Amino acid sequence: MTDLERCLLLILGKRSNISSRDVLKEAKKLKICASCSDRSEVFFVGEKLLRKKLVERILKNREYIWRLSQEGKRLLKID
Amino acid sequence: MNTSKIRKDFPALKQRIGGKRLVYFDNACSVLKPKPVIAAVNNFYSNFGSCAGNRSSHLLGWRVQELMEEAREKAAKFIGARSEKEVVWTKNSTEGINLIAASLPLENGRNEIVLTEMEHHSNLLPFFEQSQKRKFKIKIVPLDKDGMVNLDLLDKAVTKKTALVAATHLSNVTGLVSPMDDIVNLAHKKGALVLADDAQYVVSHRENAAASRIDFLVFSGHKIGGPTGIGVLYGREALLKKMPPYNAGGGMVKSVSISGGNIKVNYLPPPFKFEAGVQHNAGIAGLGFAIDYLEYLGGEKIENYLKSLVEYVLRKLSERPEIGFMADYGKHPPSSLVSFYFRDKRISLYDFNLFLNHELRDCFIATRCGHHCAMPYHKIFNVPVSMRLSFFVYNTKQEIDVFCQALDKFLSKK
Repeated sequence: MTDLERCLLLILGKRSNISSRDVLKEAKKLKICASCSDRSEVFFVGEKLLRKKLVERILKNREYIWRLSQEGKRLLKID
Repeated sequence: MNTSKIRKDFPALKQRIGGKRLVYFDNACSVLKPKPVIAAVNNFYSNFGSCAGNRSSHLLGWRVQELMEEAREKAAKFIGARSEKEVVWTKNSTEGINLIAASLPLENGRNEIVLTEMEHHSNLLPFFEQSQKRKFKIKIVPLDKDGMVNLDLLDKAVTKKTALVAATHLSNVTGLVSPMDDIVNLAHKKGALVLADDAQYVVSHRENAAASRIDFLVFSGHKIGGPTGIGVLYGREALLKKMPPYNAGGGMVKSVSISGGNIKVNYLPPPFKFEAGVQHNAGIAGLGFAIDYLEYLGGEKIENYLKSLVEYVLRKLSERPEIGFMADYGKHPPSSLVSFYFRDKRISLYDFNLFLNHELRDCFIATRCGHHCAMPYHKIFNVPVSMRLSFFVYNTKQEIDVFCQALDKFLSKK
């Protein structure tokens, strides 16, 4: 798993059901997310993790909301 | 411009991802590859694959050498160089600028480099890094309120201490074209050299380095439909002769000897002294065919067609009050690309970008969303992130309509 994949998982492990905007805010705080040079890489990583069924993303009005899947929670050992 | 015929030349446009067709508006990052370029790269690896004849003494290597020489001649003609000796192969524009920053002669007390706030990080950071090592000073010229180069301030910044003015020719953020003739006149009057960052310029405009008296220019192959990993640095021959090599290694020397533990080396003349190691021969071959393809379409026709697309998208986006632009496009019309943001800061461009990729029924739309490696320029507009739509000859007004419908659909989701 890459640092950025861990970055997104850690963010969603800390805060569930958060918007893309909040994902980016959280990413700024984490050292592991530092390779996110144009910010949008975190969403590329989101695509990868969606395919791996570790995260979920839903469109609510004009915002995407992100959260860990059951599989993602299991991986992070979150009940 | 016969776009339906042109589109058939680009296999990437035929693909489906998740069953959806591609609408590609990220051409400022990389233009898709036309069949002749793909064929040239494929041909190189299928039928050649060897070193060039400057090091390999066999028929295959000599044929590769011919291909490389043909490509260099095409590149020289493409940018209006006086001779192919003024064309140095690089990895990309970034490497060309790094080479200049590291090797530019600092003579006669000239130890200042003048840049603008408009620059891509690639035209800022190489100078920043070398300024520490080579002890030169960097002056950054503020832009005017419209985001354009301010010639009065530039005139003040350039002095008899200025070695080089390095400026983008076409902004990768706003699409605004810098007044390069004025910049060259102003710099040369004070004895300074000029580097034009042509990374975004040459795909849509005819460049003539000799006539415009630009001292150095750079461009990347991938932004004109060529392969990735190949670019060009143009430099006036007299200047290149004075500059030390940037990389060192094989293929760039006349002679090397070791005497009493000391190495003595005689470098080849330019461009070869800047081309250490085996070159990206497949990329060079492909670049030659990318240039052929642009020449076949016609420089002026490309420029006019892209201008018509930009005018169309601006008209369409201007009808939507939610949209703000990264420059005063009414005053300064952009060329080949536009960038915008949502005036309502609660709406995320990143979410709109995801929407464009996932929520449309028949297609997905590829744009660029971010700071486009130009954070200082974004800061001027007090906009941290923008969405850029950049066009090439295979794009159509119908595709722009599809984009605008998607935009309306997204904005209507309250």
